[in-house]
Amino acid sequence: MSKEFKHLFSGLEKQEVPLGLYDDIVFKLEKARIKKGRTGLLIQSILSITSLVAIFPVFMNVVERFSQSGFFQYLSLIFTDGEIVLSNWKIFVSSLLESAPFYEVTILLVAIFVLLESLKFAFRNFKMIQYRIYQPN
Amino acid sequence: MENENDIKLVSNYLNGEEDALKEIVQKYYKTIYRFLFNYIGGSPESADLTQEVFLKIWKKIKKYDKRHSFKTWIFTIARNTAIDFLRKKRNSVFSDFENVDGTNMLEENLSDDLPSASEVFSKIENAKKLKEELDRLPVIYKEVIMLKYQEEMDFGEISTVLKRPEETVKSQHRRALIMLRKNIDSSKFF
Repeated sequence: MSKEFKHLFSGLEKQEVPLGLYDDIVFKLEKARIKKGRTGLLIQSILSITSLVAIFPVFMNVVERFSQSGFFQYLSLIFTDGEIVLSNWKIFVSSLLESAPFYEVTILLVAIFVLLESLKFAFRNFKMIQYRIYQPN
Repeated sequence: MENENDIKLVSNYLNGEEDALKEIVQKYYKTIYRFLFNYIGGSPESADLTQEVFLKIWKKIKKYDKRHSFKTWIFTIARNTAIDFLRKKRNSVFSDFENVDGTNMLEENLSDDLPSASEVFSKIENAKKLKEELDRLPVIYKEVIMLKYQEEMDFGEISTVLKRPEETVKSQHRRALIMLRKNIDSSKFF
Protein backbone atom coordinates (compact mmCIF):
# COMPACT_ATOMS: atom_id res chain seq x y z
CA MET A 1 0.00 0.00 0.00
CA SER A 2 2.88 2.31 0.82
CA LYS A 3 4.16 2.01 -2.76
CA GLU A 4 0.74 2.96 -4.09
CA PHE A 5 0.76 6.11 -2.01
CA LYS A 6 4.31 6.88 -3.01
CA HIS A 7 3.18 6.74 -6.62
CA LEU A 8 0.17 8.88 -5.83
CA PHE A 9 2.22 11.61 -4.21
CA SER A 10 5.11 11.39 -6.66
CA GLY A 11 3.33 13.93 -8.88
CA LEU A 12 4.04 16.60 -6.28
CA GLU A 13 7.79 16.22 -6.67
CA LYS A 14 7.84 17.82 -10.09
CA GLN A 15 7.97 21.37 -8.77
CA GLU A 16 10.60 23.19 -10.82
CA VAL A 17 13.51 24.65 -8.91
CA PRO A 18 14.15 28.30 -9.86
CA LEU A 19 17.07 28.83 -12.20
CA GLY A 20 20.19 29.98 -10.40
CA LEU A 21 19.02 28.92 -6.93
CA TYR A 22 22.15 26.85 -6.36
CA ASP A 23 24.38 29.84 -7.25
CA ASP A 24 22.30 32.12 -5.02
CA ILE A 25 22.74 29.75 -2.06
CA VAL A 26 26.49 29.38 -2.57
CA PHE A 27 26.87 33.15 -3.05
CA LYS A 28 24.97 33.82 0.18
CA LEU A 29 27.15 31.29 2.02
CA GLU A 30 30.23 32.90 0.54
CA LYS A 31 29.20 36.33 1.80
CA ALA A 32 28.46 34.96 5.27
CA ARG A 33 31.78 33.05 5.36
CA ILE A 34 33.79 36.11 4.37
CA LYS A 35 31.98 38.31 6.89
CA LYS A 36 32.63 35.77 9.63
CA GLY A 37 36.26 35.38 8.50
CA ARG A 38 36.89 39.15 8.52
CA THR A 39 35.34 39.60 11.96
CA GLY A 40 37.32 36.66 13.30
CA LEU A 41 40.54 37.91 11.72
CA LEU A 42 40.06 41.36 13.25
CA ILE A 43 39.39 39.97 16.74
CA GLN A 44 42.26 37.46 16.57
CA SER A 45 44.67 40.10 15.25
CA ILE A 46 43.83 42.45 18.13
CA LEU A 47 44.26 39.56 20.56
CA SER A 48 47.58 38.51 18.99
CA ILE A 49 49.00 42.04 19.13
CA THR A 50 47.77 42.57 22.70
CA SER A 51 49.26 39.31 23.94
CA LEU A 52 52.51 39.94 22.04
CA VAL A 53 52.82 43.39 23.61
CA ALA A 54 52.01 41.93 27.04
CA ILE A 55 54.58 39.14 26.77
CA PHE A 56 57.61 41.46 26.90
CA PRO A 57 56.93 43.17 30.30
CA VAL A 58 55.61 39.91 31.74
CA PHE A 59 58.81 38.12 30.67
CA MET A 60 61.00 40.87 32.19
CA ASN A 61 59.00 40.61 35.38
CA VAL A 62 59.53 36.84 35.52
CA VAL A 63 63.29 37.23 35.07
CA GLU A 64 63.40 39.89 37.78
CA ARG A 65 61.35 37.74 40.18
CA PHE A 66 63.65 34.77 39.58
CA SER A 67 66.73 36.81 40.45
CA GLN A 68 65.08 38.47 43.47
CA SER A 69 63.78 35.24 44.93
CA GLY A 70 67.21 33.59 45.07
CA PHE A 71 66.07 30.80 42.74
CA PHE A 72 69.19 31.06 40.60
CA GLN A 73 71.44 30.98 43.67
CA TYR A 74 69.76 27.78 44.86
CA LEU A 75 70.01 26.33 41.36
CA SER A 76 73.72 27.14 41.08
CA LEU A 77 74.37 24.93 44.11
CA ILE A 78 73.96 21.91 41.80
CA PHE A 79 77.19 22.90 40.04
CA THR A 80 79.15 24.20 43.03
CA ASP A 81 78.10 21.83 45.84
CA GLY A 82 76.66 18.84 44.05
CA GLU A 83 77.36 16.38 46.86
CA ILE A 84 75.57 18.46 49.49
CA VAL A 85 72.61 18.92 47.14
CA LEU A 86 72.43 15.16 46.59
CA SER A 87 72.54 14.33 50.29
CA ASN A 88 69.87 16.96 51.10
CA TRP A 89 67.86 16.72 47.90
CA LYS A 90 64.47 16.95 49.62
CA ILE A 91 65.33 20.25 51.31
CA PHE A 92 66.94 21.45 48.07
CA VAL A 93 63.83 20.70 45.97
CA SER A 94 61.46 22.34 48.47
CA SER A 95 63.71 25.44 48.62
CA LEU A 96 63.69 25.64 44.82
CA LEU A 97 59.90 25.32 44.69
CA GLU A 98 59.42 27.90 47.41
CA SER A 99 61.62 30.40 45.64
CA ALA A 100 60.11 29.90 42.17
CA PRO A 101 57.76 32.76 41.16
CA PHE A 102 54.87 30.52 40.04
CA TYR A 103 52.34 33.32 39.72
CA GLU A 104 54.48 35.30 37.29
CA VAL A 105 55.41 32.18 35.32
CA THR A 106 51.73 31.26 35.00
CA ILE A 107 50.90 34.70 33.64
CA LEU A 108 53.71 34.40 31.11
CA LEU A 109 52.54 30.96 29.97
CA VAL A 110 48.95 32.19 29.64
CA ALA A 111 50.12 35.12 27.52
CA ILE A 112 52.15 32.78 25.27
CA PHE A 113 49.18 30.41 24.98
CA VAL A 114 46.81 33.25 24.03
CA LEU A 115 49.30 34.49 21.43
CA LEU A 116 49.72 31.07 19.81
CA GLU A 117 45.98 30.31 19.81
CA SER A 118 45.03 33.71 18.43
CA LEU A 119 47.67 33.34 15.70
CA LYS A 120 46.30 29.91 14.83
CA PHE A 121 42.72 31.21 14.53
CA ALA A 122 43.83 34.36 12.71
CA PHE A 123 45.58 32.16 10.15
CA ARG A 124 42.46 30.01 9.77
CA ASN A 125 40.28 33.07 9.26
CA PHE A 126 42.75 34.46 6.75
CA LYS A 127 42.58 31.21 4.82
CA MET A 128 38.78 31.32 4.98
CA ILE A 129 38.73 34.80 3.48
CA GLN A 130 41.21 33.90 0.76
CA TYR A 131 39.38 30.77 -0.38
CA ARG A 132 36.42 31.27 -2.70
CA ILE A 133 33.72 28.64 -2.86
CA TYR A 134 31.59 30.74 -5.21
CA GLN A 135 32.79 30.87 -8.76
CA PRO A 136 30.41 32.79 -11.01
CA ASN A 137 29.94 31.38 -14.49
CA MET B 1 25.41 4.36 3.27
CA GLU B 2 23.86 7.70 2.30
CA ASN B 3 24.34 8.96 5.83
CA GLU B 4 27.95 7.79 5.84
CA ASN B 5 28.59 9.89 2.74
CA ASP B 6 26.92 12.86 4.37
CA ILE B 7 28.96 12.43 7.54
CA LYS B 8 32.12 12.28 5.43
CA LEU B 9 31.16 15.53 3.70
CA VAL B 10 30.50 17.19 7.06
CA SER B 11 33.82 15.91 8.47
CA ASN B 12 35.68 17.10 5.37
CA TYR B 13 34.14 20.53 5.71
CA LEU B 14 34.96 20.75 9.41
CA ASN B 15 38.53 19.73 8.60
CA GLY B 16 38.90 22.76 6.36
CA GLU B 17 37.76 21.44 2.99
CA GLU B 18 35.52 24.35 2.04
CA ASP B 19 34.27 22.73 -1.17
CA ALA B 20 32.51 20.03 0.85
CA LEU B 21 29.95 22.68 1.75
CA LYS B 22 29.16 23.12 -1.93
CA GLU B 23 28.65 19.39 -2.29
CA ILE B 24 26.19 19.41 0.61
CA VAL B 25 24.27 22.26 -1.05
CA GLN B 26 24.36 20.48 -4.42
CA LYS B 27 23.01 17.29 -2.90
CA TYR B 28 20.11 18.76 -0.95
CA TYR B 29 19.03 22.12 -2.35
CA LYS B 30 16.41 20.75 -4.71
CA THR B 31 14.72 18.52 -2.15
CA ILE B 32 14.81 21.26 0.47
CA TYR B 33 13.34 23.75 -1.99
CA ARG B 34 10.53 21.38 -2.94
CA PHE B 35 9.84 20.50 0.66
CA LEU B 36 9.60 24.20 1.60
CA PHE B 37 7.57 25.02 -1.48
CA ASN B 38 4.93 22.46 -0.57
CA TYR B 39 5.15 23.17 3.15
CA ILE B 40 4.39 26.87 2.81
CA GLY B 41 1.77 26.32 0.14
CA GLY B 42 3.69 27.27 -2.97
CA SER B 43 4.67 30.72 -1.80
CA PRO B 44 7.29 32.54 -3.96
CA GLU B 45 9.40 33.02 -0.83
CA SER B 46 10.45 29.34 -1.02
CA ALA B 47 13.71 30.23 -2.77
CA ASP B 48 14.67 32.79 -0.10
CA LEU B 49 13.76 30.30 2.61
CA THR B 50 15.95 27.66 0.96
CA GLN B 51 18.88 30.08 1.12
CA GLU B 52 18.08 30.76 4.77
CA VAL B 53 17.99 27.03 5.54
CA PHE B 54 21.48 26.50 4.09
CA LEU B 55 22.77 29.50 5.98
CA LYS B 56 21.44 27.94 9.19
CA ILE B 57 22.97 24.58 8.27
CA TRP B 58 26.34 26.31 7.77
CA LYS B 59 26.06 28.13 11.09
CA LYS B 60 25.03 25.04 13.03
CA ILE B 61 27.12 22.41 11.26
CA LYS B 62 29.56 22.08 14.18
CA LYS B 63 26.64 21.11 16.41
CA TYR B 64 25.49 18.27 14.14
CA ASP B 65 25.53 15.00 16.08
CA LYS B 66 27.03 12.33 13.82
CA ARG B 67 25.13 9.57 15.60
CA HIS B 68 21.96 10.78 13.89
CA SER B 69 20.95 11.02 10.25
CA PHE B 70 22.17 14.16 8.49
CA LYS B 71 19.11 14.16 6.26
CA THR B 72 16.69 14.25 9.20
CA TRP B 73 18.85 16.98 10.79
CA ILE B 74 18.62 19.28 7.78
CA PHE B 75 14.92 18.59 7.33
CA THR B 76 14.39 19.54 10.97
CA ILE B 77 16.10 22.86 10.24
CA ALA B 78 14.03 23.30 7.06
CA ARG B 79 10.80 22.55 8.88
CA ASN B 80 11.59 24.95 11.72
CA THR B 81 12.45 27.65 9.19
CA ALA B 82 9.16 27.07 7.39
CA ILE B 83 7.22 27.21 10.67
CA ASP B 84 8.92 30.49 11.62
CA PHE B 85 8.04 31.89 8.21
CA LEU B 86 4.40 30.82 8.49
CA ARG B 87 4.17 32.26 11.99
CA LYS B 88 5.51 35.56 10.75
CA LYS B 89 2.97 35.59 7.98
CA ARG B 90 0.30 34.78 10.56
CA ASN B 91 -1.43 32.35 8.27
CA SER B 92 -0.17 29.23 9.94
CA VAL B 93 -3.02 27.22 11.32
CA PHE B 94 -1.49 24.58 13.51
CA SER B 95 -4.27 23.95 15.93
CA ASP B 96 -7.51 25.19 14.49
CA PHE B 97 -8.98 21.83 15.15
CA GLU B 98 -7.52 21.38 18.61
CA ASN B 99 -9.08 22.35 21.91
CA VAL B 100 -7.16 23.48 25.01
CA ASP B 101 -6.47 19.88 26.04
CA GLY B 102 -4.76 19.24 22.72
CA THR B 103 -7.60 16.98 21.58
CA ASN B 104 -8.16 17.19 17.87
CA MET B 105 -11.91 17.50 17.39
CA LEU B 106 -11.73 16.68 13.71
CA GLU B 107 -9.75 13.53 14.39
CA GLU B 108 -12.26 12.41 16.98
CA ASN B 109 -15.01 12.49 14.40
CA LEU B 110 -13.15 10.58 11.74
CA SER B 111 -13.80 6.97 11.01
CA ASP B 112 -10.75 4.74 11.36
CA ASP B 113 -10.81 2.87 8.04
CA LEU B 114 -7.69 3.62 6.03
CA PRO B 115 -8.45 4.42 2.38
CA SER B 116 -6.37 2.81 -0.33
CA ALA B 117 -4.28 4.92 -2.70
CA SER B 118 -6.45 3.95 -5.64
CA GLU B 119 -9.51 5.02 -3.71
CA VAL B 120 -8.00 8.45 -3.14
CA PHE B 121 -6.46 8.63 -6.59
CA SER B 122 -9.68 7.77 -8.40
CA LYS B 123 -11.15 11.01 -7.12
CA ILE B 124 -8.22 13.19 -7.98
CA GLU B 125 -7.92 14.43 -11.52
CA ASN B 126 -4.29 15.50 -11.46
CA ALA B 127 -1.32 16.40 -9.32
CA LYS B 128 -2.47 20.00 -9.05
CA LYS B 129 -5.71 18.88 -7.51
CA LEU B 130 -3.85 16.60 -5.14
CA LYS B 131 -1.67 19.50 -4.09
CA GLU B 132 -4.72 21.63 -3.39
CA GLU B 133 -6.18 18.90 -1.24
CA LEU B 134 -2.87 18.40 0.54
CA ASP B 135 -2.67 22.12 1.26
CA ARG B 136 -6.09 21.96 2.87
CA LEU B 137 -4.80 19.51 5.46
CA PRO B 138 -3.71 20.93 8.83
CA VAL B 139 0.05 21.42 8.89
CA ILE B 140 0.61 18.64 11.43
CA TYR B 141 -0.81 16.10 8.97
CA LYS B 142 0.53 17.65 5.80
CA GLU B 143 4.11 17.50 7.03
CA VAL B 144 3.80 13.81 7.88
CA ILE B 145 2.51 13.03 4.37
CA MET B 146 5.21 15.14 2.73
CA LEU B 147 8.06 13.56 4.65
CA LYS B 148 6.67 10.06 4.15
CA TYR B 149 5.94 10.16 0.44
CA GLN B 150 8.00 12.97 -0.99
CA GLU B 151 11.13 12.58 1.08
CA GLU B 152 10.67 8.82 1.47
CA MET B 153 11.45 8.88 5.17
CA ASP B 154 10.41 6.06 7.45
CA PHE B 155 8.30 6.70 10.53
CA GLY B 156 11.39 6.71 12.75
CA GLU B 157 13.01 9.48 10.71
CA ILE B 158 9.78 11.47 10.55
CA SER B 159 9.45 11.15 14.30
CA THR B 160 12.97 12.63 14.68
CA VAL B 161 12.30 15.53 12.32
CA LEU B 162 8.95 16.39 13.88
CA LYS B 163 10.07 15.61 17.46
CA ARG B 164 6.96 13.52 18.04
CA PRO B 165 6.68 9.92 19.26
CA GLU B 166 6.74 7.38 16.45
CA GLU B 167 3.31 6.06 17.39
CA THR B 168 1.86 9.57 17.16
CA VAL B 169 3.40 9.97 13.71
CA LYS B 170 1.88 6.67 12.56
CA SER B 171 -1.48 7.72 13.89
CA GLN B 172 -1.23 11.13 12.24
CA HIS B 173 -0.25 9.48 8.95
CA ARG B 174 -3.34 7.29 9.07
CA ARG B 175 -5.58 10.18 10.00
CA ALA B 176 -4.07 12.38 7.29
CA LEU B 177 -5.02 9.86 4.64
CA ILE B 178 -8.52 9.54 6.07
CA MET B 179 -8.87 13.30 6.16
CA LEU B 180 -7.57 13.59 2.61
CA ARG B 181 -10.22 11.21 1.41
CA LYS B 182 -12.88 13.07 3.38
CA ASN B 183 -11.78 16.40 1.87
CA ILE B 184 -11.88 14.94 -1.62
CA ASP B 185 -15.33 13.48 -1.02
CA SER B 186 -16.70 16.78 0.23
CA SER B 187 -15.05 18.84 -2.53
CA LYS B 188 -16.93 16.83 -5.16
CA PHE B 189 -20.12 18.70 -4.27
CA PHE B 190 -18.67 22.14 -4.95
